[in-house]
Amino acid sequence: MRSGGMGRYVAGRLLLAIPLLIVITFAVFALIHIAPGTPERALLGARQASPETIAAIREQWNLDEPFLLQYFLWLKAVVTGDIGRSIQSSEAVTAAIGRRIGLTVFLGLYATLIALLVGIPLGMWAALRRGSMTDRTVVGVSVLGVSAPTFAVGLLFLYLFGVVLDWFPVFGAGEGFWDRAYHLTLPALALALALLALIVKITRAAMIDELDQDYVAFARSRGLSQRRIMGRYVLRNSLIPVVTATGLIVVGLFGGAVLIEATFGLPGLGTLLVESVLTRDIPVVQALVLLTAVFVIVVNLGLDVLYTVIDPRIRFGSADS
Amino acid sequence: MTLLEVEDLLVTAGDRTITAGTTLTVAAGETVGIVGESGSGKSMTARAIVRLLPPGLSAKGRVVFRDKELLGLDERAMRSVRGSGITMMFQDPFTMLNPLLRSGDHIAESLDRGLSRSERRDEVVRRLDEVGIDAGEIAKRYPFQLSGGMRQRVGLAAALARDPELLIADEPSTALDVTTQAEILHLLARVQEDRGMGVVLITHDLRVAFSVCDRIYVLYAGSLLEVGDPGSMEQQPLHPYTLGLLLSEPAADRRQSELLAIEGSVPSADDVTGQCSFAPRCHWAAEVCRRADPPLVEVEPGRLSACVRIGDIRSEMLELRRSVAIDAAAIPLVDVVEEPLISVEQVSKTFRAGGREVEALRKVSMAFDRKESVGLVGESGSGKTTLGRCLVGLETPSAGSVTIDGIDASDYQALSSDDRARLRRTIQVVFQDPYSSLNPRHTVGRALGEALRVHDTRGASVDALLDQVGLSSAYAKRKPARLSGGERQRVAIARALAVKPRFLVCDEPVSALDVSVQAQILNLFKELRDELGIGYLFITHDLAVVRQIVDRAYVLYRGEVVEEGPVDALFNDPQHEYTKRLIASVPT
Amino acid sequence: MAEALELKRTRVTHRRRITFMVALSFVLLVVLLVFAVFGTAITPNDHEEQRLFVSDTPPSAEFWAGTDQLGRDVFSRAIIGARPALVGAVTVSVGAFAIATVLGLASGYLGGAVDAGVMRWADLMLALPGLLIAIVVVGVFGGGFWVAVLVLILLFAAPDTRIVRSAVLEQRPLPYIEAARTLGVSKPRVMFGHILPNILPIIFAYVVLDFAFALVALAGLSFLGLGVEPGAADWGRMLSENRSLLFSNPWAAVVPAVLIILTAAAMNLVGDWMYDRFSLEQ
Repeated sequence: MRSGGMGRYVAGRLLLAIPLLIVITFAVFALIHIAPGTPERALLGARQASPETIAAIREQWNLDEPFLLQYFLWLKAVVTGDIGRSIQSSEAVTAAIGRRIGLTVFLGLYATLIALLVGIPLGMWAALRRGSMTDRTVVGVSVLGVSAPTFAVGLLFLYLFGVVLDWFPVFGAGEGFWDRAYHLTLPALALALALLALIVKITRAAMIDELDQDYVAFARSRGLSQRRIMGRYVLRNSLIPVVTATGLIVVGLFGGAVLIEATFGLPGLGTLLVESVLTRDIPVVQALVLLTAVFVIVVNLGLDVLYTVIDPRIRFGSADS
Repeated sequence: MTLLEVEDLLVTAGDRTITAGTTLTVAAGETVGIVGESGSGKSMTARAIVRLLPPGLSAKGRVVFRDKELLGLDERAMRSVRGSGITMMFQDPFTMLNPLLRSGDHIAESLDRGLSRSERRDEVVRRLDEVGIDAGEIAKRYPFQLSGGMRQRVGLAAALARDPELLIADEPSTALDVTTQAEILHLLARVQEDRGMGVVLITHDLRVAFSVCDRIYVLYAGSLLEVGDPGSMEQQPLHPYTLGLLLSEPAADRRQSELLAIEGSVPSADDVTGQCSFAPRCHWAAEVCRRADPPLVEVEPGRLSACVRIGDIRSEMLELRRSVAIDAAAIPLVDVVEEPLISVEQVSKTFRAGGREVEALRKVSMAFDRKESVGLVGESGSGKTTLGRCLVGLETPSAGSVTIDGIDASDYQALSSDDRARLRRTIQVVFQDPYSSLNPRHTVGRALGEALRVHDTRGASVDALLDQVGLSSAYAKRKPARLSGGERQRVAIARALAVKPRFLVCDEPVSALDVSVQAQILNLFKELRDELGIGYLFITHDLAVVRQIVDRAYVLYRGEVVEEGPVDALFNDPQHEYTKRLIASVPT
Repeated sequence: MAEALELKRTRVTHRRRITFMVALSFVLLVVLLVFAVFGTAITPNDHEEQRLFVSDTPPSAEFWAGTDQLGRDVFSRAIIGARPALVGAVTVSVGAFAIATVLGLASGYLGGAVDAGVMRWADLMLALPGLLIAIVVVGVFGGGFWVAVLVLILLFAAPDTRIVRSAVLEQRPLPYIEAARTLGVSKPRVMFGHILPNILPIIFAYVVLDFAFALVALAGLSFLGLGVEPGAADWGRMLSENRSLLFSNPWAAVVPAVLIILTAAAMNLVGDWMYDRFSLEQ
């Protein structure tokens, strides 16, 4: 695939993403109609309302129109940037999200960085010392990490490092870059643990697979240097499963972030989501789901492009791979 | 000048023995062959020499390369021996090369660091040329863009990149087509001569070893049984196993009235310690053979044998050898019936894979009578398997028609269920791989019972079926995992026979079996044909098998029938270019 | 969460023998089973009773893990909590795989439109992070234990279907299936009589692995307030309620946290071992 081909590939994938987005937005839109009770009730939540308020809501949400028309009108509004107002706070949803997104992104990036920078070398190390004590310890810890739920781990960290040892602050998100980093270290670590365990597991398995390959044995029989073999044969070839893993991890970050923010009381998108779900603040929920969907699609696309760069078989489309 | 001396090499996996006490020498310019079936330990011996045993295996003994003891060296020192001293080529060209590395780079990475870019490029071109590849294009390609033969050549060039003195080639031609095989072996011989290298050739194919080696070591269940030069070994083997191996290989030059088969199957090294490893299967085995591990002794100058009884049985063995050598049977002529049982008219099949179209079959026409044994000969890509699958409904032709017993069998799905059932009772199939053609979770009895029930076959029972293929009724309770390859294939044949078909399509039914077992199954096919009067379509690439089993054959090349005729005529007087090439490639 | 399922299947160990850790895991799971089955019969104290005068106290002879904010015995509540944990986990994973087996078999073996339809559905379910969907759907429907279980079953069914389908696809081209087809064996019989027995062991191993994920997911939802009702003796719920007690009686939060981790880890170890054992067999 030449560069023109790459452009076409990306465009094609984006095009394919549209039906997906439509289905998702439709499902999201339909939420207010699926939820128990009438749509107006769903939109009002638990609050009392005068007939005028109810009428105003019906007006604003076009609830008198046929269903599909409602959807199109809503979609039109969304596309032009008007996602509505939060029922709880009456502020524009975009503002509500905008305030909190920074924190969640910071947390996510921080955790991903830790997971990758520690996980990949650890996985490699374990693979090279397969069967030894170090390997078994790494494997044992990673099993624990994979099974341990983030919130439980988060809580334990909170207790151990925050309360007992008092190394880190127990709540709050901090101001400014370094202070924020300090405050978010515990949450990021807790979040990173599960991701880290996964990355270690995958990297280790991928490398072990590689080390067992015939072409590695052939390379050794030709007397190639250890550096060459590790670099060009083993590492490079293990990249694909690792990239896949990273992709799934980025997506999995969501679940983890929500739980961690709840554990540490951080005002991020995660807590926003839970709050708005509990208070039936539908516009906010809709916006968050949309945001997530777009994010996931973009990440997956990025991964697929990365695959074609790494593996020539995918690039040229062979039956082999 | 002796390059390699191996003495008493013992390879173990924990407390399991893989090979016991192998001894061999290789001199510069010599080609030495290690011949053995599966489980003989030949690959592990090779790996032990270059110190590339898989984790869990270890080696003991003496391995001396040019006065350097290799087994005691540390990894760094060993690394400098590999590549420029000894190098090893692996068996499967499809996994030997790094899929993410261009073919030219496989060679370039071994070259001297100091070279400039253009010097390096020229060097790569020169070496690719040495192995018969017109560089330019190929150097830039990735392995998946090359054919099996090409990959093998690139592999060879890569192995030779540091100009080693000794090359170990593990089954260098096994995964390739017959015609390509011959080319690669040729290439290997030429390269060796040009460079004055020593070569160790590992193979399971005696014929291959006879054609290219200067000295042959015969390995069986981890023990060395015979050593000698090909000429005299072929005329007069000095060990019952070698004799058995030789005799069970079907001859390609004439039909034998009966194929001699060695009973039983290949054991693991541990099962036969403390005795002659071949004793359990040996026709001449006596008390003395089972008492101790027989040593390898020189029976004649240049010929070693581990048979303690060789003095006594020599003449008997020679007798047998001679009688088989002259055994030639005439191929019976079959009465041709007007209306063939199966007729294939202008059948084409195109596959779509990854955006590309592959024409597997191109307007192929054939006819088979009942009770006929017909062969379908071709290499990979010839379309022979596709045709076989079209006959039994596993594939549907894109064009043309197939008529079986008067029913239009071109599209099994379009038939009425009655017609379809009738077809299934008429024609059945036996697959190549005995290890995956039986459901691992069903007992033999269940598998056969199901086959009997599907078409409500009367007057047959599981025991009768087993008996027909030479298995006792005790087998009914066993699961495939406990059966050997030969036994599984018998069960597969029994299953196909359960519906009392009139025609059997056999797709490479013996190529996945050890040589000593192949002959058993071929004999079974012969028996069944005589007893039951069924017709066969034998699909194979192995010309020797063709000669032994079928009366008439079609030669397929790239989806087209290029020649057809009675077997003798085909072999003795081939008309088409391709047929000639095919016959010429059989190692003699 | 749900999509990470597929990734988490990579084999960690290559051993088939029961190691010490795996044996320990079995023991732990048996103990928990006993807790779940016998519940109130073996708790030292009544787990519901609120004793306001001894609220929020550290461990003592009477209350082995102390009391929570309402004076309830943490230890007893932890024992009771084993039931919703195990029941929920088992229901979700078995339910999800039951659906997945039927869909996966049909999709993998029959191919064509059936396959396309099922895969599109699975892709859709996997397009968004599982927890997100779970939170939104469960929340919109007002929460509750069985709502959460149902939603998780449907959620897990998607990646599980993919897994079953891959296993089926691995078997489908094998000669023994083709032999059955050539013999004329009917399609349902091939699917359920031939393919299913061969993939059942590996499905079983995945089901056990799923226990761990289901356990964690359910506990997570309860933690966020979307699963069991407030006040129920459930590990996830306890974690969320007792979080504020970290400075006074940390055990109230630490005990359920450790229990969740150990149970999930035990299930994972056993599942991994089963996976190794059954895939090596083939």
